[in-house]
Amino acid sequence: MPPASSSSFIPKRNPSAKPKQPRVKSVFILSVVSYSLFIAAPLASVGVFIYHLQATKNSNEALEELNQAIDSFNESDYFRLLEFNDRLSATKALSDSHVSVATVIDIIASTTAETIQFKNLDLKRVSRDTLVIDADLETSAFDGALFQRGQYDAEDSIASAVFSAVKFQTADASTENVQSSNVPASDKIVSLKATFTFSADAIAYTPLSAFTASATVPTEVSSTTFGTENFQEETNEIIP
Amino acid sequence: MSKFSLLTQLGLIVIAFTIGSLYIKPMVEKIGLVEDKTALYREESKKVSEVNQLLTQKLSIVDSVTPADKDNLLRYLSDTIDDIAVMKDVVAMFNQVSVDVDDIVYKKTDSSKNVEDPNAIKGVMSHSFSLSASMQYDQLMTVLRSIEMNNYLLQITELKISPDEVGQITVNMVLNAYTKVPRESIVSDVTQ
Repeated sequence: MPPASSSSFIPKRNPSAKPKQPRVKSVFILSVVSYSLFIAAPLASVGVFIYHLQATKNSNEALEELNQAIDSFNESDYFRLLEFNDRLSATKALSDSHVSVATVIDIIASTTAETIQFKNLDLKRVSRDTLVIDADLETSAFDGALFQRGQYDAEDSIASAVFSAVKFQTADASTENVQSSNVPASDKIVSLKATFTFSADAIAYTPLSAFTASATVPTEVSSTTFGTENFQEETNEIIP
Repeated sequence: MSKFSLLTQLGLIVIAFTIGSLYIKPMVEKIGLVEDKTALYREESKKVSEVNQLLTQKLSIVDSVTPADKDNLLRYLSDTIDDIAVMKDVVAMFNQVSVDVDDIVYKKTDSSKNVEDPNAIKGVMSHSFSLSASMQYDQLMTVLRSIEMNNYLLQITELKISPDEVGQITVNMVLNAYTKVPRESIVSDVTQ
């Protein structure tokens, strides 16, 4: 067998030599990371700087907008509105608490029997919601008092009617009273105190009903100077 | 790779992290604060704008009230009281039904500052007028209705009726008129 030619250009491989393993490029990856970070950091810095400028600009614009809104707030208009609102609220409160004393007396008169005589009447507004009337009454018999109590209890407008200090006496003992009042002549007189309580709601003043009730009453009250001058000044101030 | 190259790369990483921690992170935090402020400004601006809009809206309502109604409102609850004019009006009401007022007295009371006053209304000052007169029952009812229909509020807070010797009734009455307390007074009372 002829020996192998040594002139072949194909390199001969030593069968015992192992193929060269490629080296792990760990340092190369580190390079990629390091260069990436090194480039990214300044770029991010620039980006953050620009974004900060933009955010600051937006903030300044928002602040300017807020200042403009604050400047456009008109304090005098605000106080003018408050003043009007105060007056309107107070007027409403006053109007709501306005009760009709004429109505109260009408209610009592319409529910009182002819046999009952009022000797006096004392009306007092004890609170915004309550009106109390104390009265001295006289009648000729207990039946009249009992009937009258039932009448007052049946009247819805009267919150309560309480009889107290009931006194029974003969006419001789109070002849003078009988003569001065027009109580029918009788041998006996029952005198008592009555306390009426009215709730403001039941006797609230309503202009329409009052107007109807007293259509024949002259309503023209002399004109007053009750703050008119101030009103004129204020009206001129309010109305543009 | 040479040892020098490795150190360089590590150095680059350190520099990158330094930039990140010393500049980028604080800037991001600062941007966060600025954006929070911006959001706050916008929110407050929106609120102020809403208030302004509401104020304009309410003022247009106030301005739509006719001068006559404003006049009536101010007459009903005035800022000041002319006690002589009120007494004149009250006496005129009695005179209309041919009744002479025996006496009438003005007594100023500030129920708005008296917390125990059951009739007190916030921001309203009351002025009392007490009077007495003799009349018939029908005349009394007419006067009472006239008082109720007055163009400024006259509220009867006390009324005593008793018969007299000549067949008439004697009437003792306490009337309240009202004025508005200035807002400055209310505010100063609250702050005291």
